[in-house]
Amino acid sequence: MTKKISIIIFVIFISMLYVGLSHNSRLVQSPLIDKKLPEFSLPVLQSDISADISVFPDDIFLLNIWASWCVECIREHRVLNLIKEERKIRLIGINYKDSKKDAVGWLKIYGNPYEYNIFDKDGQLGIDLGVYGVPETFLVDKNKVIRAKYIGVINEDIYYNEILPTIDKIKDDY
Amino acid sequence: MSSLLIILPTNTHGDNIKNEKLYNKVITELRCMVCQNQNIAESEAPLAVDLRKKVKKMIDNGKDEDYIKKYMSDRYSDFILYDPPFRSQNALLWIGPFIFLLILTFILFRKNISK
Repeated sequence: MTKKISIIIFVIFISMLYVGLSHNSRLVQSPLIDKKLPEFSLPVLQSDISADISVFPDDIFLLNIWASWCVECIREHRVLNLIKEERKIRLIGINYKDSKKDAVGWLKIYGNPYEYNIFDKDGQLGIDLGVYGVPETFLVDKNKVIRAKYIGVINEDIYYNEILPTIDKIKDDY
Repeated sequence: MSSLLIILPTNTHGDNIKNEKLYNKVITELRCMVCQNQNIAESEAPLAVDLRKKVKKMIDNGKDEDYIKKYMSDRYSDFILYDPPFRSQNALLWIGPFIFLLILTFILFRKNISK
């Protein structure tokens, strides 16, 4: 009897350790999922227009947070350019804690896949979006509700196997 | 650390000390999301610096500790709190040790009886 119980406890313990170790503790599930995008009032990069939440389309779109100082963003940018070419989903950027000059120069070098960029110089919008590791990408629906968050670089695998199926699912709900 | 204290607001003296205490308390209880087990008081990571500024601003605007912690966990999840509240997802962590103790007592008790 005691032996049995000890074995059960042992198995439970090991499986808890296994689950604990196999999930990436650096990836924090965003509490913002299924919440509306936060309000903001910020300039648009490469223009003098001041933007708030109403500039976002009444359509499903990707909101990508990037910066010219973010080395990983260079790797991601190739996929973002591909996303633009495929035209399956709209792409809007948030330029996070950057300088205007650097950001514009960076887009000239690596291409500009964004319809436009919100210029979040002080990172306040970043805080409201719970950003802690650039690049991060939000999938936002036509009601401006956040449906998914992708922390880190979006690669082809994530784009084709996670983002596109999620978009199809959201569109089916409409 | 000491350089942080200087940037605190200069209202009345009493308020100042109270706010300073609150500020120092809150920033030691918020996790730096991008560091390995450091709070935002200890870290010089850009995000930690930004969050310290945000905490200071909210205290200047008269927000209390609960408001600030809720503000942070609403955005960064409970992971940012060093003292996370009891929820269904972490219930096992809170009550697990007591369950373990109970089971152990039960086993040892039975063992003694059967002897």
